[in-house]
Amino acid sequence: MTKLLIISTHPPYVASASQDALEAALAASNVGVEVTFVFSQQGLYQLLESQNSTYLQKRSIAKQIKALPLYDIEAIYYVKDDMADLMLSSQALTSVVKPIDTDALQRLCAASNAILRF
Amino acid sequence: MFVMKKFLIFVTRSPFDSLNGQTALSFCKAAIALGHEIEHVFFYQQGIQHANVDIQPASGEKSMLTQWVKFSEQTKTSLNVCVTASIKRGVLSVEDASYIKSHSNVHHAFNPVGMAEYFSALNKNTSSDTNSLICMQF
Repeated sequence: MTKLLIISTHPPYVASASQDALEAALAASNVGVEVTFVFSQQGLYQLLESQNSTYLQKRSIAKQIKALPLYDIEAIYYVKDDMADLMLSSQALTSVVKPIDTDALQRLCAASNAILRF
Repeated sequence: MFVMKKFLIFVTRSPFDSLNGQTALSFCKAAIALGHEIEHVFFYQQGIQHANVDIQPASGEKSMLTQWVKFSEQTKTSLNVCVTASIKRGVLSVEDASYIKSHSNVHHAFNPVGMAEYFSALNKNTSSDTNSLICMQF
């Protein structure tokens, strides 16, 4: 089975990158590609439980992330080394996403057939 | 020993705001000149603007669209543009334009497709031979 790694590095709403990454993940999973989704750098802001997109009238990024397992995307991680730079704590982040370190990210990159970075 | 490689190209930036598409095109030409193959070029995110016929480069500047079309004609490489990404950015295929009674502005050399097209190519090629397909994101 083809292994695709998607790395999402942008904060939600301020740019389309976070939404584009999620849509790519669903499309890939839909045709039987095995998707691993990793949040890194400012992409970690997408995982904040306290986000609210009502005012912006945008689809909630957090809700879409939580729905990923329904589309057979179970391997969802964030790079915990990036948390300190953004002064985030793991308690503030949605629990469907599991922490990995940069070594684990390197192993994921090496084990993937393709990588898309948004 | 020469080993033919097959590349799948993913373009994500617009022609005016970035040199990204030019780099992708140069890469494609170089790869083909060396005997490799381009599976197809897929335009996503702002990259879909490469298919936009309404973009007018400043006088004296070259048109990326013209170059992509020429490249596609000469090498028979498919240019695929993501319909979902493009409709949100005002680049409409003939079919999408007819729904909202607007004009289509996707160049006919570009195929309006779903993202599944890209991932199916990935799936097909990696399952048959792990080393044959290389994905390049620009």
